[in-house]
Amino acid sequence: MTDTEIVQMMQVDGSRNTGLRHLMSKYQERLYWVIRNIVESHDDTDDVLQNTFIKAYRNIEKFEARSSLFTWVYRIATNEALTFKKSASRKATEPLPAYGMSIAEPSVTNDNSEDEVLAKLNAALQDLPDRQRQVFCMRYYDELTYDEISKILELSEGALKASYHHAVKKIEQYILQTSTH
Amino acid sequence: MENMYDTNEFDKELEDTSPSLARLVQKKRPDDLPFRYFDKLPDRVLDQIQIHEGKSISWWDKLIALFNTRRSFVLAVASISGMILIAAVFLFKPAANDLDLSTLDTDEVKAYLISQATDLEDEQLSMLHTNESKLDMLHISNEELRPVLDEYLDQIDNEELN
Repeated sequence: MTDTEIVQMMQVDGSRNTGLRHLMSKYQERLYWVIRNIVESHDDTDDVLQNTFIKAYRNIEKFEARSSLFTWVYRIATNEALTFKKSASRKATEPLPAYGMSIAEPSVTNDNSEDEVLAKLNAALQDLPDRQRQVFCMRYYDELTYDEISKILELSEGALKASYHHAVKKIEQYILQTSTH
Repeated sequence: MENMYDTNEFDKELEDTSPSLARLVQKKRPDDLPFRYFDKLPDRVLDQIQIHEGKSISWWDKLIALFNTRRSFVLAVASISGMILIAAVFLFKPAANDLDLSTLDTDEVKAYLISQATDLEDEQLSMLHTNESKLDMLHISNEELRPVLDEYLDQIDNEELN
């Protein structure tokens, strides 16, 4: 089922629920991991994901198809997750933190402990310019296509690819430099 | 499957851009999702929408919806129910010396009455003989008890005559 068909179903009273089911079937798993990267626990993710779809259901009339349906619900999901996290007052101004990162098996890395490497990755991410960090996280952790990111951030795909490339190289350089010291 | 997407594409891109970083960083996806979580989620969301929109659904449907959507609610209800059940077991446990007359065998009652009849005053026996309604609770028919009492009264009369 196409996004257009889903939207049309959700905008008609008699088929709104069915339309929502199709929307969820199509995007719930991707959105779950986007939210989970931000709020961390399953129960919190579950609450935020439910709220995301409830908001989409209530506001579908406002969807104007200027962006794709996914980027529209993605925005709702990230806003909901960030609002939840803020209200939970866990860590006041944590800019896109660990973001689902884990460390590979020690055999393929170096002598650093997992905590040390994770700390370096976080530091490297936070050392990036905002746009590069945002693009890296949306691309790598949220697994958005360049087309989707392009519509969300209103940047060209070429610019996004360049940002991603720079981000990766800077993170790599940061890790290597701090590991040799 | 519509909702499936190729996660390898993103891993491969990082691998191509920076093999060393790709080896170091891995996406972590916890495996703590409840069984069939994504299958059940649409129903739970629709239940929530019904509750929030205050549609004319019965209190029972609302309760079921709450059970479906909030695990903490389920746990709370289960805990309270458990406590009530435990309390009820202790409060309503029958005392050891409670006696249910309906379970007594009629012959046993007759035997008991005969054995105890000597302790009854004549007046009490006469009252029992005439006031048959008091026997109802013992589930003994008048026909069964009357000969026993008659026999006992005859026995008393004979003793007095002697």
